[in-house]
Amino acid sequence: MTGGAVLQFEWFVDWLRGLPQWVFNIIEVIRGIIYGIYDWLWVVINLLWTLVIDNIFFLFKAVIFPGLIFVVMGLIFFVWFTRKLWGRIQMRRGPMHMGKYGGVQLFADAIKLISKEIIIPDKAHRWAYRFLPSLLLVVVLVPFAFIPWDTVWFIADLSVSLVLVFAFLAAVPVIALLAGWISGSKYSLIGGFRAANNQFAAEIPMIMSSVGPAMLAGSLSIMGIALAQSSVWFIFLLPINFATFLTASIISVGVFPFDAPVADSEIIFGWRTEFSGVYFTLTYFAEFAEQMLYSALMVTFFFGGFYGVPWLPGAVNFIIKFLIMLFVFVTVSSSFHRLRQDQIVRYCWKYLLPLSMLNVIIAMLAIVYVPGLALLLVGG
Amino acid sequence: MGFLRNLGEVFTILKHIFRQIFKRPFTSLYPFEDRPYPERTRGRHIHVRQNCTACAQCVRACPVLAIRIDKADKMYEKDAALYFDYTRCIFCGLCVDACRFDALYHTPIVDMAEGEREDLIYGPEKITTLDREPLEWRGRRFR
Repeated sequence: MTGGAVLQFEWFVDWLRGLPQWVFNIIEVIRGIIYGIYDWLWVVINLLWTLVIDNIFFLFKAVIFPGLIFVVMGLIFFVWFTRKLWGRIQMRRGPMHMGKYGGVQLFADAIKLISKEIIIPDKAHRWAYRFLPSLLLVVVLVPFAFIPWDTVWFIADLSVSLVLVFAFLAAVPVIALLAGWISGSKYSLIGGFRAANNQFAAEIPMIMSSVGPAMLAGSLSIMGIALAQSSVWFIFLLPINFATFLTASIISVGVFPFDAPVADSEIIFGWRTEFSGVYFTLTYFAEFAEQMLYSALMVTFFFGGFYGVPWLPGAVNFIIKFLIMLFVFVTVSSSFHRLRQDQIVRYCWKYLLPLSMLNVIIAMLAIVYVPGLALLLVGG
Repeated sequence: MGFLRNLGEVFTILKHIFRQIFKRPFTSLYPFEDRPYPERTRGRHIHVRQNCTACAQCVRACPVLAIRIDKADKMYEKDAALYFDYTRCIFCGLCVDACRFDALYHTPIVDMAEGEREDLIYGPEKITTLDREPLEWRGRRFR
């Protein structure tokens, strides 16, 4: 017999013979994995595309017209509008150098703020510091989904959207308080507590003022409240409620006469003191978005929503009234001096709350005792 | 009653603010528009070479040696060229008082900022005239 070397050699030849099959098997496995992923992706993409095509109108509404892009464009306009109006009230000119009438000023400011260094204090909680400003802007932007710009142009309509909007808005001072707490600074902590104090003062009068429209409309849906004003706007029945709602919303936002949370001359910039760069930009925009939201809610509750000039589209009616409300909001909120926190609370609980309830009671009595009013409200 | 009176004051304030919005803004477009200065403001000088007699009394009166005279540079019969150094001038007005021939005046123009120190030395071609390149802002030309 041959020696051990030949045996070894034959085994090696066998191994060499099987080598192409082995390589082929490996390639087959890899091909199988790639095709599997490919098939799976194809199914998922088909499914998603079907969903998109089925809901194309909803997606258009959510992203473009009454949705994100429209609201952000409105926000950009509103910041310019507010600064120009502040300028006029103080007999200045406002922004004027960037673009026509200073229209591009906001973009210049945003580029400046975003390109700034982000300085996180040592005592701050880092993840919360990075997370809270975005959360604040999201919480403020989500309720825009419930604003009825027209009978067709709205994103969502729940039977309890009024309650839901107030739930979202009640989260804003909580985020402010959290931001003051996690910033690790005395000033921001004081500002956070003052924001909570403002909400404590303003929330009950605000909700009591919105009880009036909800009661007259017989609905807790914002769309339902807007639809109920086809014959008579609620401002004619609830004028005091409008004033209390306006005041309470100014307190809740924390702009001028009630800007104790961000009082620049006492506590540096309140709960926003430690935010820098893009985080400060987010909180700054959130404040303006909140003002816009309250203006839209006031138009819906008291000024007939999309009803108005009959030959105009409903959204145009709404936007005209919305701009007037923004004007009123900025004018009122830049006319008075700052109130102390205890003054805010006393003012709210002593005057605002009874006034808001008074108007509701008067409206109830009027519906019962004035003949024809209930019929008018129903639309007869 | 105090509440009602306060409410009335609130509405008074709101009325005032509402009127304020539709008024013209008080701010002038300063570097482009002229600011109204009083007529007797002691700003930069103007030298009227027709009246000048090259007596050099302004040079003698100047307490900070801001004026230099060049008697060789004659444009008319007996005038001279004046060089004003506005890095030194204190706008005291003694040179204008010293001039007996109505050849040197102050003007109400006080914005003379320049990028270079040398540009603040006003030679005869700058001190004899008030003309300058008009500033342009958004297609509007000022002054």
